Amino acid sequence: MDTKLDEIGKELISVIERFLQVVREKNMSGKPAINFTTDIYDDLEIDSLEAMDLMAEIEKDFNISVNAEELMAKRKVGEIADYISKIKLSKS
Amino acid sequence: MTRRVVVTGMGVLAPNGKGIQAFTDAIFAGKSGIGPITRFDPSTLDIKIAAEVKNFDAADYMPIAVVRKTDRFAQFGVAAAKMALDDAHLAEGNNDLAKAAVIIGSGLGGLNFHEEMMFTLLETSNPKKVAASSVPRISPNAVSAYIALQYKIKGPNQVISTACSSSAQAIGEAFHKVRNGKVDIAITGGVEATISLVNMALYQAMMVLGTPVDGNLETASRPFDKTRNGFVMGEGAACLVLEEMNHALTRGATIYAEVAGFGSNCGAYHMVAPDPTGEDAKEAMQEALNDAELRVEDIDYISAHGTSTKFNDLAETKAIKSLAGKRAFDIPVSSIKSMIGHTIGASGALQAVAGCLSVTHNCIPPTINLYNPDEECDLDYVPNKARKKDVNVVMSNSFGFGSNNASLVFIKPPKKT
Repeated sequence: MDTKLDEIGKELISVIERFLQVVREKNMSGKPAINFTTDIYDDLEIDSLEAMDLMAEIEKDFNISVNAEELMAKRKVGEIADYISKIKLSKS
Repeated sequence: MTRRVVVTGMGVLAPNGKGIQAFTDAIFAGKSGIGPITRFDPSTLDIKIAAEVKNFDAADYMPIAVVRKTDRFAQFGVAAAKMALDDAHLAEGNNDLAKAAVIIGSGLGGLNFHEEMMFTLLETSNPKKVAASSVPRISPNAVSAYIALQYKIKGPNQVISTACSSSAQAIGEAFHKVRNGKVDIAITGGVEATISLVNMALYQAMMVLGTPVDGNLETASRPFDKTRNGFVMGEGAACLVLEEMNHALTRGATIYAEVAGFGSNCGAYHMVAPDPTGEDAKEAMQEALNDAELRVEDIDYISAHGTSTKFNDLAETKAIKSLAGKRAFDIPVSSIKSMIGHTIGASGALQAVAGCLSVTHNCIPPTINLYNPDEECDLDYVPNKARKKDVNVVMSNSFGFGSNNASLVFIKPPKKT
């Protein structure tokens, strides 16, 4: 994996963790471990409304505009990082 | 045979105590929960005091996945329901709990998040910045829905919103649902998370909020005192588990009190002001007594709505006198709002819990900050110090904007045989 994508992935994971407020979880067994293969819907139990809120966070954090339909079709953290990286590449 | 309804679990988040034990200690010690506003910067307000629930971490009571999707008011409800269900030893998976009713009172719903989104929109001038998940956070029935979701409770699920009488109405409806055989168990009570900039500004504008005397913030709420000048905004929640008596006895549940009567009406007098004669409030109290098949002579304690406004406390005093005649002067009447402020839609539920605790402990919580008698408020308001007394019958009053009146009657449960 290239360094750029790796960096974006790490930042994305921190955005998701902040969004999910995982640091506040008291039940440690319920604390999700997020990596590139994590499915944000199945593994993190993010619902469709929350996914839209998360999308807004991603736009803000990475300073990009995403296509909602395209982004919502991505399920895994790695796929989303890849999508963000492509948008950032097309901007530069 | 008439089904009887008992209270088998209670949970409370009050400004002067979280949990039943802390709340019990606080109300009988006359402990105030009023202080400076800390939830936001109140510097632009004239009124900078409130009764806040301190050190509440929603994650102590529910998964973080629920915490992040909910407004403070719904979190209060889920937390209080958890405490009440734990107290009643009812857990998810219990077949009867799965069929229970959830009926909660809230006057204002998810106003904190609503406000946050309004500010976001104002600051950005971009409607797209409003969170997609806003509506289910703000909706008043988020509270009853999340309680049901957490415990998989599939019976009737309602939120009743009648301003300051919301939770008394909710408890009354839940009581009748159990008594009428619709359900064997009901989770009921009330919630309100009122301490936000806009909400404080709204009530400040109505000029209904009280101010302290001599700089002591805790004196701002002084029901029935001659110098009273308004209520203190409070936040909180209380939940009660109501259960058909035989159902409770069969499973060996601890019983706090029996719910015996409920009366409710609308005085159709004014949207905000109480009818100064108190006759509508009296009718609600009389109906609750009739429902309980009790007489005025049976009342040991009246837990007053007692907001600390000029008009409410006077009208309520008149209502009690109209109901009880000469005996009114022999009935202890007190207002826990002197300690916890006015928690709006949660106030009836907090009073209900306090009423049940009175029955359990044979003790009457005081009206604190009552040092200057008002000639027109001339009943026994249990000033400043709790009173030990046999308490078999408690009447609890809640009166809301819109001339909305509700009274509940709690009695000592039958002795175990």
